[in-house]
Amino acid sequence: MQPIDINEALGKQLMIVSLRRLAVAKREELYVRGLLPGRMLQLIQISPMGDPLIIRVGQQKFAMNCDTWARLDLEEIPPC
Amino acid sequence: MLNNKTVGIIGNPNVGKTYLFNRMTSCVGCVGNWAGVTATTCESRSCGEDQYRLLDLPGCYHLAEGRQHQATQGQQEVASYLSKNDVDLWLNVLDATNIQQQLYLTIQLLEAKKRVICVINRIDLLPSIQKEIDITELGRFLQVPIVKVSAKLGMGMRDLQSIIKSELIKPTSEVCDYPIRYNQAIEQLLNKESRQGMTRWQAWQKLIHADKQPIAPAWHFDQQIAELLNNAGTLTDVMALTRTEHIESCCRRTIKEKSTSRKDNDKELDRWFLHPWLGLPIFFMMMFTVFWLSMGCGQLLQGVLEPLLQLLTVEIPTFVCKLYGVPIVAEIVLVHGIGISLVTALSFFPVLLVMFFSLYFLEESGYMTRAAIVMDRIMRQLDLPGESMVALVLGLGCNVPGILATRHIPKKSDKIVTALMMPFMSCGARLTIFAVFASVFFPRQAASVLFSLYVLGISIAFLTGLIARYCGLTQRHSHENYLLEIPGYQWPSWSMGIKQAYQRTQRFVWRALGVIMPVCIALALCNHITYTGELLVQPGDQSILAWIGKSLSILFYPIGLKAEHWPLVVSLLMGLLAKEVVLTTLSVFYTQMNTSLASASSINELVMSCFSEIINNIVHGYSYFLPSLQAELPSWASYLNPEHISPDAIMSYLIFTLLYFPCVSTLYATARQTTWRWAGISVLWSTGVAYVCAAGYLVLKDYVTNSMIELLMLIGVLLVSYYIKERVKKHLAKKANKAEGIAAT
Repeated sequence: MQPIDINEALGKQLMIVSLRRLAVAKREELYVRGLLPGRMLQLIQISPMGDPLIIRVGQQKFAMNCDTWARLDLEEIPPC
Repeated sequence: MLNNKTVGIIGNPNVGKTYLFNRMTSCVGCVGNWAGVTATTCESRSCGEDQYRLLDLPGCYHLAEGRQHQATQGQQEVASYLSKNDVDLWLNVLDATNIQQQLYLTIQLLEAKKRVICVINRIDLLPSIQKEIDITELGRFLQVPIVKVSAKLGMGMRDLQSIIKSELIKPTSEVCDYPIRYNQAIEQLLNKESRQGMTRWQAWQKLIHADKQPIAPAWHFDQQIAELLNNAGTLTDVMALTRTEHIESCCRRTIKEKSTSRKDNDKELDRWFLHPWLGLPIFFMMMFTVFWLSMGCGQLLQGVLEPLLQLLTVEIPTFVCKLYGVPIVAEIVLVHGIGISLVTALSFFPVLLVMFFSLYFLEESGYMTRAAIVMDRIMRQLDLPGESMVALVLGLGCNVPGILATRHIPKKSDKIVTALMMPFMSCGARLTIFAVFASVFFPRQAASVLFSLYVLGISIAFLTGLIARYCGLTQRHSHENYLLEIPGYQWPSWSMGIKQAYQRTQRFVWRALGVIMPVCIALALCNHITYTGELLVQPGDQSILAWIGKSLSILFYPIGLKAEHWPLVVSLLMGLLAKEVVLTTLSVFYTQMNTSLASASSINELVMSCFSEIINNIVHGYSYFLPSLQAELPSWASYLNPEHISPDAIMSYLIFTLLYFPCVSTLYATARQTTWRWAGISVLWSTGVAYVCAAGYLVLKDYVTNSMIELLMLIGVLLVSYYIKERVKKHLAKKANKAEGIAAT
């Protein structure tokens, strides 16, 4: 699956398809914090100098670096 | 009855564990609205009649099962307490505003058959976010007692204490297995292992450990398990997904949400603080405000405190000593040793108090996490995380809190490099030295001199970071995954802020006093005794200190200090103990305090003069808030003037003071955060760099004045060689790309 471009993804609702491209330990860390397959994720802001990215999962906000972002399998949800 | 019982506080980072610990023990542990404030376990006894041992553990999101080598510091500490089994009861603190994410750790604790009480903290925030938690249902689901508290406001603490006591007296055998059910095939495996005398938790650990081995375990060939792993990935995925499904079903039944208005306010604030263009200027403005407030308010309070201290510890004792004819040795120890050290150390109290309070405000409000995010990309140029910049900025106030702030940096190698960079960040004590010397030797360019020294220090710090990166000390972060939780904004508690700032300042001042007092006593004695053992009424050239200074001045000849400048040499040596001592040392050499004090005829006169000074300081207090660099010159500064020593030599001396190792307190803090070996390397590196830079400045200055053309030619040659190097690099890269293209075809 091709990673979604950051500028295109800004503000959109995305669904986490899989985290398989991350190492097992990191995968568990993300599961624990609510980044589970099937959950919705929103890229809400790009911090100064383009990295890290500010994402929202549920009501929680996280700063995630572009490298981790590139390893997430995400799917765009078309607006209703 | 409960004296031998231990209660551990455990939970995710930034859920208010230390707030709860402080409430239950009346300690003042460090709190802040960011993940990782508690770096090591704190221990104390609870308040009240039945006192038990209470542990405050660092936060962790989950227990590292079967992968202890990859665990974070918090996870390792928690794992060691879990395996030791010496904790009778665990208080699992959950943040009421975001409970779902935190139940993962609760489930793991229950699976490990630990006796747990779930403490739902920040209950006072629930109405504002229009959320409701059904405590009875949650308790039934988790099969543990649930208590609602607000550690910050002190709500629900009595209920918590009574439940803790009733749980502690229950027998351990009452804890049973938590009924979470995994896939049928996995359950069979677990049961098989459990039959061999293991608990369910131990069986899981064994399975996960076996799953990590390079050779697939036998059960991998079971068709049902193979299919399951093919879909999910690994056993860890199966386990994590089952647990999160279980938690979701629990939250569906117990949590009711209506709206998210609070988060929208956070969004508005983040729009500015994390703005692509304004984020950085806002960060620097915030840091500037902290120092402006510290220097303004702090110095205003200092203007009141210092004359009072001077009166009580120096002037009145001198008057009394003279009046009753106290022996000269006792007067030296009492006035020049103890008195001056008390004035030096305690006069820093207000400045540090205001600085620590301002920093608490930034930490507690939630801005510090944003600061780490804003600086992350810049620090990644040095392969360091954003937290390093926060520590370095704190180091500008004082290197010791800066070094201690490196404990928030997760990787040890990053911690080491940040600690190596820290001595070059100019602290407040060095600023005072620069201000005094700049006002005497460069009265018209005092501001430029001060600014250049600051910039030089920061540049050398970054150069150190770059060298460390090229030496492979830091590892690349770009390939690693970075996920930092961003807390919501909150209004800090004033009372806690004052308490915490007071405790941090008090700790620092006492430690500094422990160094400064013996140094001042030793200095005062050495300055009044000759090497033949005779006692001098007035300090002079024949003293032991003068002899040491003169002997060592040869070492400092390359930086422009000659034999007659021995007091400056001694002040540099004493500065290794604490930078605050540098000016004190010079004042011990250059002042003739007794002469001026002897003129006071009564204590009334001394008191009147002290109060007039205080009133004068208060009346002119507004000037502390103006961006002026005019330092008030001490009386001894008149002995140092351009006729006595050249301004170039003084500049070289200031560069050396800026860059050489700050003080023993910093050395101790570095050793605590890294190792003694790295602390030693830090001393050698900073002192070596200081010597080369200070000597280099004199050589370069001489070269610039005498041979401008040669210097321009040298710069030209360097530029041309850099250009050639870049061209060759580009050419080689092009060639390599071409070769790769051919190989691919």
